[in-house]
Amino acid sequence: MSFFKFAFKNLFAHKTRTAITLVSVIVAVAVLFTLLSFNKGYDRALKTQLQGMGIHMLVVPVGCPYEAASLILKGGKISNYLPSTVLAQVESLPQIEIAAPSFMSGIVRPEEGRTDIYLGVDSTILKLKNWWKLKGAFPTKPNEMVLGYDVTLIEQSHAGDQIYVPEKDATFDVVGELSPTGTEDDGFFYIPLATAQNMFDHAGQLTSIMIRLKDPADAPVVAAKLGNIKGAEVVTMGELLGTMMNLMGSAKALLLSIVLIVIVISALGVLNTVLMSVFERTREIGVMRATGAGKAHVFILVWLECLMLSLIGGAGGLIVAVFGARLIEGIIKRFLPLAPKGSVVSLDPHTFLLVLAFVLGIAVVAGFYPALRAARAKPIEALRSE
Amino acid sequence: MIADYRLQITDCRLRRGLIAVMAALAVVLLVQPVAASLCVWRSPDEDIAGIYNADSYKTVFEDIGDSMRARIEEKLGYELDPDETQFKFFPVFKAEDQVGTVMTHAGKGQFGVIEVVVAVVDTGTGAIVKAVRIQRDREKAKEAIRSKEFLGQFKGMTSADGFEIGTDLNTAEEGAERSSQAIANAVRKLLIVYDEFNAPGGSGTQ
Repeated sequence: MSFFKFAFKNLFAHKTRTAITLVSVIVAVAVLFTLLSFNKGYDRALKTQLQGMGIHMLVVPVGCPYEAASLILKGGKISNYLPSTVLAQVESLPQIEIAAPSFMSGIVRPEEGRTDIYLGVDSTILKLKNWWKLKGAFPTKPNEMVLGYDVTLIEQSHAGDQIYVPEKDATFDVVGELSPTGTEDDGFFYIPLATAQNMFDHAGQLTSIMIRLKDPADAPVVAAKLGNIKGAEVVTMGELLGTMMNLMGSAKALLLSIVLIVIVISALGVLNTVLMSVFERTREIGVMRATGAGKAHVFILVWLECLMLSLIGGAGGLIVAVFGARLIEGIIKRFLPLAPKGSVVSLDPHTFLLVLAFVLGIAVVAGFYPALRAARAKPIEALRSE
Repeated sequence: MIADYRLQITDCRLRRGLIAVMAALAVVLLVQPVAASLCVWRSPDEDIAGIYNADSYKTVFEDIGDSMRARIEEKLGYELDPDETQFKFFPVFKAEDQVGTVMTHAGKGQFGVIEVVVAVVDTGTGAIVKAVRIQRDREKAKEAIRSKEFLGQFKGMTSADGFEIGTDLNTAEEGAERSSQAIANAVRKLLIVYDEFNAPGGSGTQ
């Protein structure tokens, strides 16, 4: 009987135990494979989404744009604004396709534990964000408003209703609402640009200009030219992507740590299964040794059991991952910030082989001790054991 | 023998571990978003001390089945939102004794959402209002709808009473009829829901 058949027979002799161990390996491998595929797919999807947004760069006031965004979210006042005249300078560049000015400010509502963010925009935003699905109309009068999807849920208000801003004693007619975008756009109150500037006492000032280029390859040239405008700073999507990736880093590291713990537990399960099998077969191993089997034969046999267990589990895990990737992706996405829309799992052969090699490595390590213990058993003592 | 015993223990532990993992996965996958009308109770400690002079509370979630939904809708006279599948109750305790129940509701006002906190006591035959508080709104009549004159009208009311602004209750101020009615509707709805859960054969709210 070959080593493979013998090892398979031993595993098959304890169906329940083998099956449970296999399940733990399958789950661990499936999660590992999906997570690695997710990591790869996430970066790709985020890049695609940012490119798909059609915004190639932002012109913002001098200073840290992330600090400014944080201040607005807390209802604080930022120290620098762009004069509206910058818009004309931006539009004068031949490479610019669309330049959409905006003015953003927040009102803290402490009793709700949140900040209402008002975004003053003009109709160029509709050309720039042409994927928006707007139910109703875009504001044409100073006191008209469009609600982001999340705002419609929070305020239970829709097109045709009115929204009052008590802090500014201003009443708006809701003329439209956005369908869910899955982005921060869902959380804004959209009002006309001039209304926002006046309401927050910053007439003629902007907080950003969103830009789409005719050819994205011109981004470095345009960024250099816009960087010369006094008081303005340019943030390209490449820089934004890098920042978002950094933000994601810690969340990814946490997830990977959890999966590694699952893998270790699974490896211990395999080790435990094989070790118990060795304990049970002490007498059988003694007979093998007494009838001519060498230490190497016993070592290989036990190690092979471990490898088979892990490889079958690994293969099963990969199959489960391929078919269950969408389900596991849904779970993972709940724990990650800034997740792009759509599928972010990229199932590719490279990851497939990497996981298989990893499982093999774990099996080699987990099987070493039980195999060594079995090989070291002295035939006489083994034969005496019950 | 020992090996078999070890095997049984290992199998048993592994099985239990697997069940725990599957249960955790099920919780992650099956938890549904809460109903739109549910809202956070933002200052529970102040409310239970101020309204009941009590010192503790607990949170109870109760699901409504199809038959209870139908009964509630019949009493309300309008349909609940499709996502209103669950209600939240906060039984309030003074020492070991329950002294009342708090409920919260988020409903559409005239200029945005109005969040209402309703404190009730149970008479044995149903709930009566002990106090009503507005915890969040963006109404123009902010002061009026939060006034003692307006909110005090609800004290002692039951689900059997009339809640029509202009007929059974006074508006908070002229021009705030819609906001006032929204608050009255919220109070009535919570009373009906409470009574339904605490009716004979109901699952209770404790």
